[in-house]
Amino acid sequence: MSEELANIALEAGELLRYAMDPRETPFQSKRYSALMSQLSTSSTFKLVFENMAQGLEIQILAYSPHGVFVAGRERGPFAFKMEDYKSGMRVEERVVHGLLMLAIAAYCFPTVEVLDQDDDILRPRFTVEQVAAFVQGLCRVCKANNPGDPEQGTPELQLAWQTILGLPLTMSTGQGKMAIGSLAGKLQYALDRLVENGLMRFLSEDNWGTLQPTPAYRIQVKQMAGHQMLKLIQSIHQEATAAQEGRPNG
Amino acid sequence: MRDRAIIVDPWEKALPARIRTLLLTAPLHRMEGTKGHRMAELLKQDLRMLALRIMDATIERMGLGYGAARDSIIAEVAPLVRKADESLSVDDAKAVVEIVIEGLLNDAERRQAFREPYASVESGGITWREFSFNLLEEFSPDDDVYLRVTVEGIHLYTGMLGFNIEDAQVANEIVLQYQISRGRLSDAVQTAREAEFRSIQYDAQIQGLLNAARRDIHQVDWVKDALSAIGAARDHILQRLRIEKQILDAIEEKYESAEMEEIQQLTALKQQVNRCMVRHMQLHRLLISVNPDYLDEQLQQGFKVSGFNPLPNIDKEIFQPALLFTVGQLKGSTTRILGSFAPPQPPHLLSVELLIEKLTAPMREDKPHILDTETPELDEIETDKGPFGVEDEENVRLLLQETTGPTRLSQVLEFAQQESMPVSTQRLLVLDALRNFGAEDDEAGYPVQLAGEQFKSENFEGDDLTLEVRHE
Repeated sequence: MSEELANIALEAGELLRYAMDPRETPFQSKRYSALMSQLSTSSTFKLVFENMAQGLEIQILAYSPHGVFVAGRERGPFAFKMEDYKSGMRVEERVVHGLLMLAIAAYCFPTVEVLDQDDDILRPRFTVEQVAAFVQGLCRVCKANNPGDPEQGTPELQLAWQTILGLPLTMSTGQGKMAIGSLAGKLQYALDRLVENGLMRFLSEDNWGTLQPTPAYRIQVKQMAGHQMLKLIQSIHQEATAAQEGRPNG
Repeated sequence: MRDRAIIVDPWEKALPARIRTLLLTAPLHRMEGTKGHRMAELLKQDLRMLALRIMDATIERMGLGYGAARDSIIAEVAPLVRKADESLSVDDAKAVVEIVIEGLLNDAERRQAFREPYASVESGGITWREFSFNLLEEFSPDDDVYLRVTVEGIHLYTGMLGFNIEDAQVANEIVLQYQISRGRLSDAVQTAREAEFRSIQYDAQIQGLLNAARRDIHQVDWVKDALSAIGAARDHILQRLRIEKQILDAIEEKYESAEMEEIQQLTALKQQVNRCMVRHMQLHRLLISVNPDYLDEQLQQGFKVSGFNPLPNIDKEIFQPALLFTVGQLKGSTTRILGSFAPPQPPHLLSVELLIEKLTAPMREDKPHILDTETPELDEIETDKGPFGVEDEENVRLLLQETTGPTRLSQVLEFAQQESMPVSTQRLLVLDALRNFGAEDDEAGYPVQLAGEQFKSENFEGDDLTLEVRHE
């Protein structure tokens, strides 16, 4: 193997390390920026980088001036595990957190046109209070439109909007912080994870937290909406149809 | 009987452009019309005027950089707010500017485009259409945040909707050359400023076309529209560069016979024309490098179905329907959703050597949190006199007492020089003004604002400040 190729492999590994740390951006790190330019000028470097990612079962979601966006493939060594988000969650809690992630994306990108804008264009600042009101408002509309839906039953049989409406809007811990058992507390938890992953910018504590999405958030949501969401809609519909027909889904 | 095939009704074609010009101002009128419901502090303000001033200040900063920092726009426009209502504090004035910026960004509608319905005369009937546009955008091309005025916003500001930007650029240059040749330099400075706005607008228009093509090649017919537009743009820019060079030569010639006052105007003119030239050169470089990139995009996107946007509406198509499913139906999808926002999770790799080393490492002694340090004994030592004496302090007090209403720092310094006050007095005056500029409202002796202009005197140069000393 030539020394040149060995160097390329070393640098491709370095770039992969940067890509796996979402808080790193090419604007903060000159090295990251240099490796990104190499990506656009050397096809060998790009090929080695992509092969290395593939070998590690890492999916390259997007190349952007804001960095390389990657995700662990399902069942691969880098795959996302629920414990990485929060351990010990019951089913209904897990579903609420998933829905709140969708709610945040829906609040930030209310239309397809807005989602489809340039990655650099920033979405407005928003508060946890606003997103909580948005979610509660939609759940109340569901309740008004479906007065016949029973409100009792095992957690898994409850409709999603019923589970969310069953949460208190706010609740304080002994230390005066927002309890994670409340809707606002769960939203804060979800948004904290997005901040940790460089997808949101925390601005202030006002109104239970004021934040602004970063360009990286738009890139991730576009990826999710473009690929994962279509699968998600299909799987939900399949599950619902299977349930209605009384046959197992699979 | 008239031949229907050759009848042209120009008003039918002209009306949509005219009505869209009118509609661009609708968000500004709405902001002004509803100000009473928002804050009592807004009643003495004309929000339309503030909105246009914000756009003006932003376009100016879009000159060679990315755009304008929000704080710098707020600092520049806040004094105007206080001129309309002197009872407002600096913070209140800044809050008013923030409200207008949010209005221009359409924050109330989560920054969706403004949508204005209008009636259009088509095929002899009336069809209702919608004109959607943005006026201001906040964007982050690197890790910093900037404001920029959109193409429609520049149209609104310059009152140019329905006009061809390229024609306007040519017209501006002819007027500019004429004014320079006649020595009408103050008019020429104004024309050069308009020319600069046109070049920013043209830049935004071309960038918009290229971005649309990059996002979705199907939005633009690459071979028919984009390539011919790029070819025409290159020719247009090369011609601009030639004319701008001629204008610069004419300015250089004028320098030789210029009076003192004219030299300042010529320098301002030269800077404006230079900025246009640099922008045009950058745009030209972009246009000559663009073809291979876009052909790649075209190849990559070539298999997409034309007119089909694969992105769903997350709110209406995903989130709201999901609320109607049961928790049990949704549980299988949750991991996928949460995983979409998480980076790859590196597994912990076990190294037996490292594990043994860590487990067998000697226990560390717990050290107290506070270091045992002795407080040193302090003695007063003799120092030289400070840089300012009692005389300087008295002079500054007198100078500030002399001011009536908002006064420029440069004027006070000029007065101090005329009165032959020492440089140390002038320095103390400048430091005092800077201290009050940076102080919180309750700590400031008197309010100080950026005047929005630079000044240069014998001993000082930089941003001029406006001092408002209130006399008891």
